[in-house]
Amino acid sequence: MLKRFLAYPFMALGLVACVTINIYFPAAAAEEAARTIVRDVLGEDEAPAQQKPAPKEESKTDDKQSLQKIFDSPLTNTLTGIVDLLIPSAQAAQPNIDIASPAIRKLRAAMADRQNAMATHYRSGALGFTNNGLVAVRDLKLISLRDRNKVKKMVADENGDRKALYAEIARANGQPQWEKDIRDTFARVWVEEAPNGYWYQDGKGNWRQK
Amino acid sequence: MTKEHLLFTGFVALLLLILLSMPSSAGLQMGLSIGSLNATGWSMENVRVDLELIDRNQLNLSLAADSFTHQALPGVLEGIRLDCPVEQQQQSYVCNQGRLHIANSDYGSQDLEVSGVFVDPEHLSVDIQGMRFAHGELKIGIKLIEGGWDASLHANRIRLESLPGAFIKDRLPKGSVVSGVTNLKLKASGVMDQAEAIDLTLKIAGFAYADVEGLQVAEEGGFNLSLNAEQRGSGWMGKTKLSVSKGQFYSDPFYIEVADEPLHLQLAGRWKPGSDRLYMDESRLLLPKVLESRGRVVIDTNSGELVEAKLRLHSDDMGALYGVLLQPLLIGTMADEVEASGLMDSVVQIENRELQRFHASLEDVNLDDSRGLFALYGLNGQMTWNREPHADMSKLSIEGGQLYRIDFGKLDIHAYAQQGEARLNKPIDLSLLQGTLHIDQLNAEGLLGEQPQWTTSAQFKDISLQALAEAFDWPTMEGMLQGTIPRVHYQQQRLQLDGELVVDVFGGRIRVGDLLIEDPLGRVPELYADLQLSGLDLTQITQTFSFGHMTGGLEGEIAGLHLSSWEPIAFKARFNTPDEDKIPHRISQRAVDNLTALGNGVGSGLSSTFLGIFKEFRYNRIELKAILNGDVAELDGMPHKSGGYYIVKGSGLPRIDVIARNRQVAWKTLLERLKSIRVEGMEMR
Repeated sequence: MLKRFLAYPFMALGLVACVTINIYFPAAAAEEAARTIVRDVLGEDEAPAQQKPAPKEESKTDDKQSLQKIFDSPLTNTLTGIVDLLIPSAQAAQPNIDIASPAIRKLRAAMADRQNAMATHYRSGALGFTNNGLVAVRDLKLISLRDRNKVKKMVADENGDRKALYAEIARANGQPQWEKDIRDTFARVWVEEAPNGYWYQDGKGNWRQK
Repeated sequence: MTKEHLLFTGFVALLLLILLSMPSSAGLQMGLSIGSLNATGWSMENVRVDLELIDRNQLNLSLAADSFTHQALPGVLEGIRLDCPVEQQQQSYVCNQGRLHIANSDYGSQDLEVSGVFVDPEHLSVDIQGMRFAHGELKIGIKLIEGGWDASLHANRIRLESLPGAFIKDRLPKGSVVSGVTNLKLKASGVMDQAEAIDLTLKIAGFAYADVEGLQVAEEGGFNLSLNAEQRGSGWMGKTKLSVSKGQFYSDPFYIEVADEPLHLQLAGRWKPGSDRLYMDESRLLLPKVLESRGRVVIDTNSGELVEAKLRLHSDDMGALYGVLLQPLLIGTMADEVEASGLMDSVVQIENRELQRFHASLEDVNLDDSRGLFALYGLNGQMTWNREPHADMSKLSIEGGQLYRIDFGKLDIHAYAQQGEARLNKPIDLSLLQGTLHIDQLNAEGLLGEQPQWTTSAQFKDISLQALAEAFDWPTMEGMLQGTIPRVHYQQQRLQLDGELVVDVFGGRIRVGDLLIEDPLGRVPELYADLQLSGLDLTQITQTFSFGHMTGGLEGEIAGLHLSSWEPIAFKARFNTPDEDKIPHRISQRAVDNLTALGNGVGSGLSSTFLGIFKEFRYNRIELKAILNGDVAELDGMPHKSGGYYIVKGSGLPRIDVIARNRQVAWKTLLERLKSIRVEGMEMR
């Protein structure tokens, strides 16, 4: 009986341990990395007049975090504390997002070089930020006939760089499956960091002006 | 001409005949009122005809009606009054200065000049001018001769934006905007209700058009259009000529600006009513400075698609052709940034809506990718592609070019291309880097599908390391390399080596295995490979790198090599003296200095010590290990009891050991050391 009584905490311990060692998407670190890159690309001149506060973490609640709430009881908290002692801290710590690979540096530089030319069309409303972290022609009529193919090529190049950037950040951090999460994070940060007057797509794909 | 029409016309004519045939009836008046006159296609309400005899040969005809409708006219004409002085001339009745007043219509009120000649109901003519229409003026003429008819319409300074919807706007996509000023001359002739010939000339200035999405747009357009068509048997034959003298035109994704030289389009063809095919037996399109096209085409009138075509395309300027017609289609691909020049003459054959044959003659064509991926200069020859198996071979000669910044020399390509396949007919010998690349075979498949793939194999001979180093901006090297590329396979943006790439260099051999390049032409090429080095001669290597003289053998490996955007981000490398090395081991002062610097960044300063009198030292073993993971490289060598590690373990007297202390170094720093070669923390003894 005593054995069985003592077994329960250890079973719970094992269960909590499984939850703790899950490597879930580091939303806060990814957002910080995204903001660094987006600000670098958009440049200081393009910074928004008033910076929005970063969205709270709960807005990115995922299944794994929800799962952790189930175990959020005094007993499991205590057991979790024990596990934290037993399991190396690295497993529980929020991982950083590495954005220093040569490919990421090149992509950032290419995007930053293109920014001045893009900004004119962001401001006019011809181009806007899509809700999947890319750029799209919002209103072709706002671009002179002569410049349309130049702008379309610029959009294709920008989107090529953005897609490569999201994939490369995921790959450089050894987690290719994070690509969609990284893209979603960037999609939100591009809009937050965009200057007033820029156009962006809301969650339903409708265009809105900031 | 309907029976009712004949009846009414005949009735008025009868009145005229009666009046004018009376011997002395000056001042005689006759009137007729009809409540409603209906016939197929037209009707009049409250019609009154008044005739007043002036003298034996003249009378005044007045016709008034509350309303008139006709199936060919939009809306209702209201308050109609026609006054016409009629004069008898032999067998005809002539009205030269008639006036037609219409109080209200869809085109406003009208006060028109009317003239006409009446012989009998089948022989008459009417001319109406002064009609105000869409801010311009119309002149209409109708002539009936023995069951046939001629009609003419002259329109001057009509504003397209003011035309009633039925004329243009209702026929255009919703939300479209059109404007411009047009002059039009139309002549048509026919029998009964069938037209038999049409002759149209149209001139438009200041033409502008835009659909709601901006995908089809014209600005400041000016053009002339002529069209002649006539009925032949049960069908029509005709020709048209369009000459665009100015304007900017965007038809997604193409943009054409016409300024100095006009754009011409000439078509001659035939069409049968009820058929969904338009046969253009002759066509000529001239895009000034870009392209001239001649040939025949068959068009599906329902979809607008080319069903069949045989066209000859000629361009004197491939740059303009690429910029106007090709680049817009290639946006988003790796070929959307090419500078081109040269001449092209080609034949395109389409059957059953599919391209069946393409043949091009190229003359002094140059293609240069602005991203620096490739360049081809002095391209001449014939290119042929057929959907069906054929015996025509493509023969191209290229004076030179570049691939990944590597210059290559003249080459000849003989190849077959059919369906989705292309293959070399004979091997290619490519001169590059002062040596030769011999390509045995090159086969491409699935070129028409979504997953094209190709395979090749090659050997390279006498490639100059100095030229290779210069091409990639590497440290100066000397020597030659030979090698074999077994089978390279490219599919789904992955270039994979099936087997080992063997390179004979520095007196030994480098084997490159598991070579994989993902997205080699993309934004972030990723290269993975494992390298094995064996039997290398340090004498040749150190001569090559200007490293300082060393003798001895060298072997090693670079496992898990991973390049991203052609920069290393991971590998596990080891270089060491072979265990059974029989070559004498000597290392010069300078080489010691440089190896020392490689470890930590500062040279040994050997020359300032008493050891400076010795030019060379003997050594027992050299070993250097490096593990790169991201930005940090971890260095190691042979273990040393003090905690450091030997890079060079000396022997004999004077003995010199190179012992490094630092194990971790930023990759960036290590690269800088390779360039400057100075170290700290080295121990010399």
